[in-house]
Amino acid sequence: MKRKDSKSREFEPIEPSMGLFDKIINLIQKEKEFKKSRKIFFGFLFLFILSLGLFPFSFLTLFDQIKDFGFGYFVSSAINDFGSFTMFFKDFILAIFSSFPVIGILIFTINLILLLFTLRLFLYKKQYLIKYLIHKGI
Amino acid sequence: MNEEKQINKIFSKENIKWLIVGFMIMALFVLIFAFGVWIGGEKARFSSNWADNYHKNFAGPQNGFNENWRDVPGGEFMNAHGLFGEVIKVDENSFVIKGRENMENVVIVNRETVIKRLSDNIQLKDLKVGEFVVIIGSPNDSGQIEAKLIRIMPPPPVTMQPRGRLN
Repeated sequence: MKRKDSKSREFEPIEPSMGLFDKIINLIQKEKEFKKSRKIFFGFLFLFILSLGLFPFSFLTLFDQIKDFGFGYFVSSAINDFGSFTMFFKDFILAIFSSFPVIGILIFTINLILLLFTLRLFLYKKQYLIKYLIHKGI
Repeated sequence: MNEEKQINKIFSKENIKWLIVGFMIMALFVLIFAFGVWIGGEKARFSSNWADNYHKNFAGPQNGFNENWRDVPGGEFMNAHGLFGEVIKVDENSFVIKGRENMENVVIVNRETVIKRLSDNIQLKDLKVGEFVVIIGSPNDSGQIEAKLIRIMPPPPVTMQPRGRLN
């Protein structure tokens, strides 16, 4: 009985310091925020590198298609000689539409939308990105 | 009574308005798609006629290019209503141009064809080999273009020239 008493004295519960619970909750909250900002930071970085890296290629695709299909020549002919354009309206329209660089425009537009979305993400979530960089000490 | 209310709600002005807008957007998409299909068909027909008649027009492979479609320079369908390129030969009622991927095309000129150098109208005999032209016209069954308007333009800079550059 005596032995038991001495043991229970050894494991006497320690009174937690004031505000420990708040500290733990705060740390958990901070960790959650850090994880979120890390996720946003890497997502932003991936999208930014991808869209910026693809930008020259999509622009070149569009540029090549415009010059290969002669879209610019037909449009400039229509603008420079408006009288002839009205006279041969139907054939001009068919020539312009036949040379329309659909794939080039599609690729370039998707790339541009991705780039604008990334920039929008940066503008709207910049506090998270800055927080992550500060946390990493960069 | 309750059922009547529900029916009225379904056929409300707002719902009908959105239904009409939806139908109009769908009709527009269908129209654009149909136009694209038609343009593609025109290009395919012209390219096929061009390949079939290549040996007649330019003395190429006897059976044309249709036995092996990949042999066609560029491997893409040609614009059936507009051409551009360098004049390489001038005949009495026609001339030959070299366009994208160095593909030759016969351009037929008739009485109604308008040939313009800047704002001046000129004759076919005034057209010179080496000049850069833009042609608007319609295709015929022999894989040639019957020109309606021919515009002589300054040759494009090297960076703006199509693949298989014009020399």
